[in-house]
Amino acid sequence: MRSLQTTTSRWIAVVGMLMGAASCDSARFDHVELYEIQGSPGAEISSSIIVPQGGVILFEAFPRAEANSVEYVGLERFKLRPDDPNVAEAHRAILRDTWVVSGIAVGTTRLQVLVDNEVVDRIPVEIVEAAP
Amino acid sequence: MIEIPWMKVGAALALALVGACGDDGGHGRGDGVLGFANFRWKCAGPGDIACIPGRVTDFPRGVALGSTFELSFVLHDEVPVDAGWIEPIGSARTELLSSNGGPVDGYDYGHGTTMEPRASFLAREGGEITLLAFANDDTVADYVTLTQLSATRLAVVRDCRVSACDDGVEVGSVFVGTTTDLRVEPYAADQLLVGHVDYEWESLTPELLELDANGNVVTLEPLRKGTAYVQVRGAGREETVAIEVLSNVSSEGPHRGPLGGTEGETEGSTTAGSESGSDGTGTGTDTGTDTDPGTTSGTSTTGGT
Repeated sequence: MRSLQTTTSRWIAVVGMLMGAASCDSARFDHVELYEIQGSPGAEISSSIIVPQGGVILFEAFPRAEANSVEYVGLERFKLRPDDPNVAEAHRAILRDTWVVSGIAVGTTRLQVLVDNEVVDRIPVEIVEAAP
Repeated sequence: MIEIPWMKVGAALALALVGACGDDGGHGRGDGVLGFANFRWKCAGPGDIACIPGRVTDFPRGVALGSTFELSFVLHDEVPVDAGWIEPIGSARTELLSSNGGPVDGYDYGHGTTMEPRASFLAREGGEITLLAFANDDTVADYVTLTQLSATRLAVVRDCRVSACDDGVEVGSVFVGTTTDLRVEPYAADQLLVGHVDYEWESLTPELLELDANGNVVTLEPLRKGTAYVQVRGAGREETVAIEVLSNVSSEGPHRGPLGGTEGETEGSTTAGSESGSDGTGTGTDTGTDTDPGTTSGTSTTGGT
């Protein structure tokens, strides 16, 4: 189940549940938070990541730990990877914990959230027509 | 006593100066959206208005649809990694034609000292595009947005890099025996568009005016008095300008000799055979005037009747 937390209009957290992780010792992250930094006109993070075709969105991404678990310290192998790279691409940005998602083609896909090579969440991504 | 290595100092200064001037004319530069990279517009070919020194000073944002264009970037000093390469987002709208990646491959021996990754692109579809500047650790260091636009008009103006004149103004008249340079500039509304465009120039009145074209610049070689028409095609547009060819003292009347001795010799250089002798009376009357560009085409024109 996914819930959405909004802090400000520009700082929106997407909260995801770990997939079947409650009883798994290795899966101690239960959501990832995304904080938008900058983006092309029309790009935003709401219930999904929305990017116009040919545009980008830059955001911070932090895996968050479930209760009574050690928080993310940055030493984990954290990665974002699209299900369909023909629709969207994800690249690590030069700033710490920041990522760039770019809109390749109009359509939808999901962004896999990997921590230590395990998919802990999938975030919907929507690539839309750029405004004329 | 410390010995100063003057040779090394001189070489370093020379390299620094070359780098500061830009590698091919100091064209527009602009910071990326994130402020970590400085993007630099490169001359993409003889049909790129950005190749003309001083014509494009700010970093251009509008690219002519169908043109090829070229960019490089450098990372700012505070960025702790080296520059890597440039990529467009997707290939449908902007096609990556060539790319030099990394500080070694990006070294451009042809244009002086640059440690800049550069890439050339083809503007395939209209709309806003984003170019990503990667660092050599595979991270996105910065990005820049451009807009690919259809040209709505071509402006044909004087080009005064060779001879002194009012640069950028429309040409109204030229004189027989003198050459005049023109250039074409593509616009979308009032926005000057950059990128290399393959232009085709044609004299619709070759009996009056011959052309020597190179990219977006053409040299007019007026032959005879009359109203000449020059047509340029490119960027999906076509523009025809009327130019009044005026005679001068040396081409008419008693001082015609300098042009070749006889009018016949001058006429012989034209492609319009029917023109020969039309001005042979020595009266200065030229029947090649007012040729309608709509009824003539290129070298097949016979000029006025």
